[in-house]
Amino acid sequence: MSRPLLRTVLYVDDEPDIREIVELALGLVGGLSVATCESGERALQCLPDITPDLVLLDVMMPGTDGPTTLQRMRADPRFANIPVVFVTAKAMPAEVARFRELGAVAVIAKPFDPMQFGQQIVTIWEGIDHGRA
Amino acid sequence: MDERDELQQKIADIAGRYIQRTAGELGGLRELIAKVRAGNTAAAKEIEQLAHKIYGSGSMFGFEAVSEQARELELVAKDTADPQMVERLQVRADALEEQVQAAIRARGAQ
Repeated sequence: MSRPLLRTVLYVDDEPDIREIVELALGLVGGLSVATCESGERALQCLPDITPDLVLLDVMMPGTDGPTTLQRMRADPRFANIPVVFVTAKAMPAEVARFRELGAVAVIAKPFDPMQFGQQIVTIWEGIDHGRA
Repeated sequence: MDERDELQQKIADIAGRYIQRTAGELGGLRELIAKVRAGNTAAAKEIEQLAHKIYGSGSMFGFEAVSEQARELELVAKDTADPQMVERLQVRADALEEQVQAAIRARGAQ
């Protein structure tokens, strides 16, 4: 089965400076459209309009945090199969294992290198079993 | 200037905005500590979230010492069973402010 193209990414983080960094960093990946949201709740509202190929979630956000956002996505058939990556400062091995159990395809630790971030995302995308996702 | 140089420059600009904004948030942190002192336990959770945000973003922009102090503050705010929590929050907030001011001075000196 051929791999689908990564065209649209949604990044969710309550920290505006990090959202801006991610937009700039992913701008280095040609042909990629990047949308951002400031909260899990807002992301859940925007998902039907954005229809991203991949969602990147911060973990600790006020209100609906990253893990809750993922659980609510998985409970909705429209979004259940969208791969999710956590981008978090909470990247100790036990936490990473928990995020993987929740269904995250990968966990990227903060701080990340903005110069490498785009390639990291592409590599994660290429490693996803899209037949199962 | 290629797009990578441009990205580096923009990150440096965002870092400058970030540290100034963080300095502004420290006033709110003092107010939250006052609320904890008055018995508002929910304020400790707000301190934890604010400290976590500074911790995560500080290291992104190369403010390692700021990030480290924010992490210490986050850990203190989590430990709501500690009877000395308010005093420890105060000490950590002072240390964080010191590091934020040092980072601003260092950027000004560049």
